[in-house]
Amino acid sequence: MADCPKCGHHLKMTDWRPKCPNCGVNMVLYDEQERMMQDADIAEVQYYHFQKKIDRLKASFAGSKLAIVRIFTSLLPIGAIFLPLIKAKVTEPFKPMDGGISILTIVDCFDKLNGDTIAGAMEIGKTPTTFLLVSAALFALSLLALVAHFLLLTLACSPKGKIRNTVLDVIILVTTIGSLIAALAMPDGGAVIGTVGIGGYLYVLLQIANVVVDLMVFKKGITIKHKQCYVGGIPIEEYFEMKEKGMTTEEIRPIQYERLHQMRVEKEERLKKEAEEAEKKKAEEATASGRR
Amino acid sequence: MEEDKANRKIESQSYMDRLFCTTKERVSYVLYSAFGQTTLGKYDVGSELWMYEMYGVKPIAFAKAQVALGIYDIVNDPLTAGIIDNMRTRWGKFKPFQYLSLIPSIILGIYICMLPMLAQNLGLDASGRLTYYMIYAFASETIGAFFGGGGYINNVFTPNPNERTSLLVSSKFVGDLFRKLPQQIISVILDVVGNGVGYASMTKVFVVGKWVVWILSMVPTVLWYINSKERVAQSEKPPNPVKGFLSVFKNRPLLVYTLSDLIDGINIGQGGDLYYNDVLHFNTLTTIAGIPGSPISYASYGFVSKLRARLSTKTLWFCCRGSTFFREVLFLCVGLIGGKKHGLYLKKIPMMLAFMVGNCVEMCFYATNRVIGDEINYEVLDYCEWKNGYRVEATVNMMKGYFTKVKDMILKIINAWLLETWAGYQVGEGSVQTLDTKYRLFVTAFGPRLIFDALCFVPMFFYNIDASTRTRMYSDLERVRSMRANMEKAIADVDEAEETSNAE
Repeated sequence: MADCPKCGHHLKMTDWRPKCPNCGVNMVLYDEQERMMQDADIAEVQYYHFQKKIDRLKASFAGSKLAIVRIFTSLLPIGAIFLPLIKAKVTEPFKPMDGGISILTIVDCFDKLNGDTIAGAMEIGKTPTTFLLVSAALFALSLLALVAHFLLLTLACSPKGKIRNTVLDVIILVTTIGSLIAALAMPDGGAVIGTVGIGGYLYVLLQIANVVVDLMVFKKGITIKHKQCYVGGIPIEEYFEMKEKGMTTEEIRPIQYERLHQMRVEKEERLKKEAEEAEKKKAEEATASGRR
Repeated sequence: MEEDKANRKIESQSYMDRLFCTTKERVSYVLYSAFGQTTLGKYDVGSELWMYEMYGVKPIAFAKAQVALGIYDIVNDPLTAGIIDNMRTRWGKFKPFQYLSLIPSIILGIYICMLPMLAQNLGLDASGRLTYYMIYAFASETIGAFFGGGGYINNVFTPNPNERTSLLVSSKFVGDLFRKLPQQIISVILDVVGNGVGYASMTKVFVVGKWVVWILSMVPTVLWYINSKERVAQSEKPPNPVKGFLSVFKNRPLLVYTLSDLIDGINIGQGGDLYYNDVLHFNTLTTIAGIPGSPISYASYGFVSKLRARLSTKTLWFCCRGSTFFREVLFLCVGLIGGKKHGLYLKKIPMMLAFMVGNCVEMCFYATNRVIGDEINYEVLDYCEWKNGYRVEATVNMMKGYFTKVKDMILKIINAWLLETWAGYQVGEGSVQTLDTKYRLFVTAFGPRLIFDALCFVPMFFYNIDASTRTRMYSDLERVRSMRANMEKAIADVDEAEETSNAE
């Protein structure tokens, strides 16, 4: 507030007191209610636009039973990576091991990184590990796509949500199946010899299930229920119509007060009725227990 | 329509059921409430782990220094409450304090982030470290007391109590998604460092972690300070300080709630953090055991509004406190099984399971618990305005704080004595505790507080703001505020008209 709301006197930073140095009016209280109503007019229109986004977000996750199922199918493949993805015999130049390799094993390898492991990794190009590398790279991509897919579920009901999700579904399918094929095609002569483990197959199946559920959700569609918004008691659609007709704030204000008053009266009557019913019920219970 | 003293008709109109906060304000408020108080939890400045293990200060010396701080705090509280409650500016009552506190808070934040490293580089002993810490403590107390009034704007940024509640619930939900993350990350890192893996020291881990959380909390705070607005006007004339002070005692809900809070806060014995660290060597017990309860805690947000609509504030408070009490009793009883030598309190798995079960029950009321304290706080302040015609936020909070501070001062000395002398706790990084110390640490951490946790239920039976009182209160407040605002305009307009006619 740089000017007095009554006389328009320009206020300096040193004019910190609530009373205008020119006209003496209390600037905080003067016409406070009208200023609050103007604040509320702006806030409620902004809330309407924001609420639409929230309604879409809610619908993306809970707009239908399939959408709720989709939350779980989007996360389940992550569980599969804790099972053995590959059952392999690993020889030089890597740290020798024989058994199931899951995400925990891979993390452990990174944890124990030292000069020998790094030197061994640099020998990769000299041993036939191309298929292994391709499989690992595609697997990492499919995981990233899965995480991106889950995060972008928040925007699934937005205008471009369907295209976005479909593209991600395609990426997930291509990278997952590509990773599986590359792993199955690993030759015997490499530093890693083995087969795809239970975790690997489960991961692929769950990814496919994830994509199928996603496509089913879009096919069935989600009805977005938009919460009715008001501007001073007037439904927002009616308010926008009033604005389009050219009605000024001064003309709309009395209508708003009337509607707000009506809403308040209805609310009080409803609460009164509920209180009376509660008392009646208490009295009946007291009578019934007295008789017993 | 009603009439003022000069028989002029003044209209009071419904307006409080509207929404007043713009999207920018809402986002700022949610981020500020969610992240403005982000800390490193039990590893943060002032916690037992930080003071005694990481920073290296002796408990009794620290407790004695805290007495001086407590006295300073008690002396400046009434003064600052008087300043805040009497503040009347064209920007509002609390807005100036928000801006005044910014720069000092930033300087102090940088100081505390670097303090452990500074102490290490200067080669300070325990008493030197205590001195440097107390500089921070006194400065923080001064800034908090004289400029902390900005925090009360959370009560008055909207006159609509439902809008305030819904924003509060949203902010708690958002905060809970990420609030514990800094603490969880730091506890994992410190567990790793504590077990001898890696080359970083606890001090370096703390400094980096503290910088991250400080920036995370400071940015939303600055945003909120810039975007917030006061929308509940204070009475034109500040209340008489004595009247304001006495109004607190006439405020039954406030007295009842303060008493309950005070009794609940009598925590004799040090907190569980030292027990988890030094007895179980399992800092992440509450994190890991809290995993099953985590989805329940998020799901509980879906029930807040339904519970709020069906149950009174009092009933909700009983449910929340009751669930916490159940968890504490279960944990203590399980730990005591087996006695001192072979007690389950020494074993990770049984204690983890005991915590897990209790935590799941507690999490059913988690969201309600996060909100009900603030709700009661707002209600009692609005009740004060309803009954007395003026608001005394600072005085009310000063009174609440007063009892708590005196109690805390006494408790610090008792707890420090219990820890150092009775339990024989050894301070410093890498210290080893005896079996006797471990047992006493467990008992004092979880035993005595249960008595007072049970007693705190008693005062709340007398809390008298039920649903119908609440509705009547806000209805009357709306009418009075509306009339006050319209009266000011009517008087000013009439005065202007008179001046104009006189001039003519």
